[in-house]
Amino acid sequence: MFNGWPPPVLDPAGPYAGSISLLSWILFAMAAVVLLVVLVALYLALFGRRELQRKVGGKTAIWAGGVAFPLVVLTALLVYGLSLTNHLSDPIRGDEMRVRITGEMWWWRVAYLNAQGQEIILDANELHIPAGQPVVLELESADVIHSFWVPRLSGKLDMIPGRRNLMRIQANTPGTFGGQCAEYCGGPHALMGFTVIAHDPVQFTRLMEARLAKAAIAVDATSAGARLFDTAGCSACHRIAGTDANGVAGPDLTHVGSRRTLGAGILPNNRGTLMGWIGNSQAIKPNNRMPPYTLLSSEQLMALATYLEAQR
Amino acid sequence: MVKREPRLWRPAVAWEWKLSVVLRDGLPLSRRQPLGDPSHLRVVAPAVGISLELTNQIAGVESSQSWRTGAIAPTIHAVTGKTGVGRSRLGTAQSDQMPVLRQAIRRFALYSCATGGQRTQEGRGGKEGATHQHMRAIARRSCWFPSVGLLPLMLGIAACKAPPDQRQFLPQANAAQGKIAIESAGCGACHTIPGISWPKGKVGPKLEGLAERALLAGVLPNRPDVLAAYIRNAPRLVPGSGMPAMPVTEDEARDIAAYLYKQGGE
Repeated sequence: MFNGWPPPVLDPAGPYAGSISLLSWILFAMAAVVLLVVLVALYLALFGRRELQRKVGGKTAIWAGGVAFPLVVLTALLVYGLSLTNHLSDPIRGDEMRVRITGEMWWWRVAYLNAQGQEIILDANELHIPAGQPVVLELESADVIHSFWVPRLSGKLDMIPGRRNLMRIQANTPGTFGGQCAEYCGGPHALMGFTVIAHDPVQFTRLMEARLAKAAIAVDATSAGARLFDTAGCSACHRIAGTDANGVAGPDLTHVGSRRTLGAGILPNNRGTLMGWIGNSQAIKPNNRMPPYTLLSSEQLMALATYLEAQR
Repeated sequence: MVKREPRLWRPAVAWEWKLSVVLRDGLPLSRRQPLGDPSHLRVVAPAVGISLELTNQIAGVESSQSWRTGAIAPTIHAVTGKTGVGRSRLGTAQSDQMPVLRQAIRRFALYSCATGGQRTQEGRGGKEGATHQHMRAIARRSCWFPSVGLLPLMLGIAACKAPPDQRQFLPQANAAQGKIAIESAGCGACHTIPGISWPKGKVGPKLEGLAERALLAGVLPNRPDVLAAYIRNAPRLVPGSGMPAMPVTEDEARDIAAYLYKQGGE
């Protein structure tokens, strides 16, 4: 549908996903070998010569193939697998870039943290990272258990209410990577997507500086869209930095115009889809917590969408 | 000199169908007389060997009729790949139901209906230009082979008299690409579209059975080129329209239009 979606599961783009998918391939290969051995044994037991049949059902075969073989192979796999993925649980150094991602029903709250752990830039459903360096994610949940999964960058890690789980992700090269909530969290769980965009480190620094600067400047509040955003009630749930809109129930819209997707990684982001989402998001993502704004006229919808498009 | 393709053109038409060009008063047109505007093509359905469906497809003959006379396009020159743009409604015969004539149908899928004296725009280079040249070649050839000249004319009639399930069509548009464009532009956020399983938006109208609709957005004539233009910039064509300009290219808009015209209604 759009860039990076659906995310391929066995196509790692960084070290933390790389070791996991290597392990997956090894497991697939082992499983294939075992299946082959079992099928050959089955064939011999059914159609082999009498002698062979007796051998396949004999005590030696049971001990060798049924006990010794799995014991050795599984133990070796366990040791190898653990050492292969050992680096996933290396202690966090503490100097990495940190982002707090909170699972909500059914979207992702994103807060970029500074060195002191304060939230400095707020966003939703999209994460910008510098390529080639690890980024630490603080995974939390605001309601039920969600699971954060960007297959090309990392394994899955649950977001558990009352806990803060730490996970590292890294993209080796710039690119766009799709993600998906991987733990059933209610109605539109399947429509809870996520996008990670890895930038060249220089570009990334520039992007973050631009975002900090935007939050400091007051947004023109005289346009029709800006006034509607206030009067139609949008600001009760949504925040746009630099305006009076400071709702926290829904996704932060300070940079909504720059997002790749709408509705938590499910729709392309353009004026048309913005209007469709505002007009009746319930038809697109049933039971999501935003009511349908069927009381707005086409001009009002257009004004709102134009205003939001400009929030980059 | 134009290369002839006798194997392609000889069969079916002149032998199985009785075709004649008549003037409006019913008098036959002589072989050398140019095919002017008031000409009519008389098609007599063959007695045997051809299905009723095919009969209806090509000549628009009703089951109770044995023959039918219809207006024909004034000259072959009026028939190019770009006929439809800004001019007239387009149609394409259903090639799969006319196996014998498939080759011809593919080459002459688009015809202007005979409303008299219409000249079409030149093809814009590339494939379209080639089509146009090909048409001219056929037109020249038709001087020596009257029956050959009649074939495209007859198909032109098939386009004028649209069978009920005939789809409107844009030159070079690709409905399959259109579906991809619909998904990547997110049309479904506002519209419920046949063949798009999700999302089924309810902000704008359902886009079912567009081919049979008379008006687009309740205002515009329902023509493929108008639809494509409307998709790209609705507010320009219908000020105050709830549909915004969509970020699709001209080609994508055409593909989307082709896809929409293919979708039937309930």
